[in-house]
Amino acid sequence: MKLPESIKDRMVFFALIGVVSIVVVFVVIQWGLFPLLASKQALESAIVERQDKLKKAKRELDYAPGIQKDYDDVTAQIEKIEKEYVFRPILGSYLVGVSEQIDAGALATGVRIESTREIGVVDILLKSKDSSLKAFKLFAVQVSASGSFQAITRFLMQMEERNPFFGITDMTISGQPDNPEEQLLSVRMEWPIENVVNVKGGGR
Amino acid sequence: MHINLIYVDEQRSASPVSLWLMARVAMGVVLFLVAFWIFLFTVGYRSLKNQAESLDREWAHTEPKYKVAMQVRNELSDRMDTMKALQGWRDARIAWGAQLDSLGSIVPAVIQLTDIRVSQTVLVVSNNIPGRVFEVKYSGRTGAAQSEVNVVQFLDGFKMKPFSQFVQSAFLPPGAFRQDPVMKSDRIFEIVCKYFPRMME
Repeated sequence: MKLPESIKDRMVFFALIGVVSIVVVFVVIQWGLFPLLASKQALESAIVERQDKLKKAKRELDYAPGIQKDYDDVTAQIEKIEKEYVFRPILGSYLVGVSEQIDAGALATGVRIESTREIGVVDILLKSKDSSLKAFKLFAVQVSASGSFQAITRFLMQMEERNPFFGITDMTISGQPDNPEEQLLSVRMEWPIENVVNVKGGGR
Repeated sequence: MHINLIYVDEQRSASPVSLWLMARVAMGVVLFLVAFWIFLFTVGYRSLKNQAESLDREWAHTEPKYKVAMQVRNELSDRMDTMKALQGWRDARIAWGAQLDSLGSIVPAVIQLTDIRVSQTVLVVSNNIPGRVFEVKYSGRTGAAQSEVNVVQFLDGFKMKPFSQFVQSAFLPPGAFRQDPVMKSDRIFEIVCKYFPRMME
């Protein structure tokens, strides 16, 4: 191939080559190089992301045995509380079981139970609506009894030691002028129950 | 006189490297570099692809175990909340049997308690944490002689252990110390004990 003879033609020729070259380079860069680089960069980002995800997952799996152990321990503790201290209804009534406990405590401590009146199921104090304690409610009774101050003290201590979740919210101990050794006890007692059963009444 | 013995198309540059040769070499070098870059890019890209596929396989293997672990962690968090709430609930109560048992150590022998009333109110503090606030009213009687001293001694008893860790304040309300309307020689009194709020935290 010969170059044009005149300098002017040569200049035009080279200018044309320059323009075409620039266009070609632009097209190659814009629609060839950039997408390729972007694709590679996206792949690199995806790899970094997956590596991070995998690293996080592996770290979590390293902790998994310890977490599982904690979970088992806490679950066992909650199940123990639910089994031992959360009251179960007997034929739909909590009062029977509660009365049995009260009577046993009174018998062991020398307190005479005059009456055990069911107040019913009441809501527990909740931190918020989505509290973890929403699974529980309280079964409350009003107990009237009499006995010496020491007997009443022992009775309450026994009830409280038997169930650490048992609570007394209101109580009156009154002396009797004609019988100073005998005190009258009126106490509101509460036991935790599961928030599932619709309890029927049944006072005595 | 100038005699030109060579045709124009037979003229050659005196330079050992022609412009055209330089252009072709340059183009060749550029093409070679482009081809080499494409080769390196392709190799690198394939390597990344393989790495991504390898990570995907590893993730597919790890993900089920990870999901189980996360589920256990979340359930542990719920259980811990329940456990804490149960403990808070338990700790918010007051063991009244023990309180009454300790009463004997602070009541002077010359004082006779006639009435003890425990009442609970529910308190909710600013951060929505509920708590129990207990108030106890002690009504009693004592002989007129040294009656003030006896009542103050009883009152001071609430500043000592074990009551001091429960009782926030103990006081005689105005008019609560007076003559017994029945036994004129005796004095009757009423002491109010306000307990520290027991928050369910």
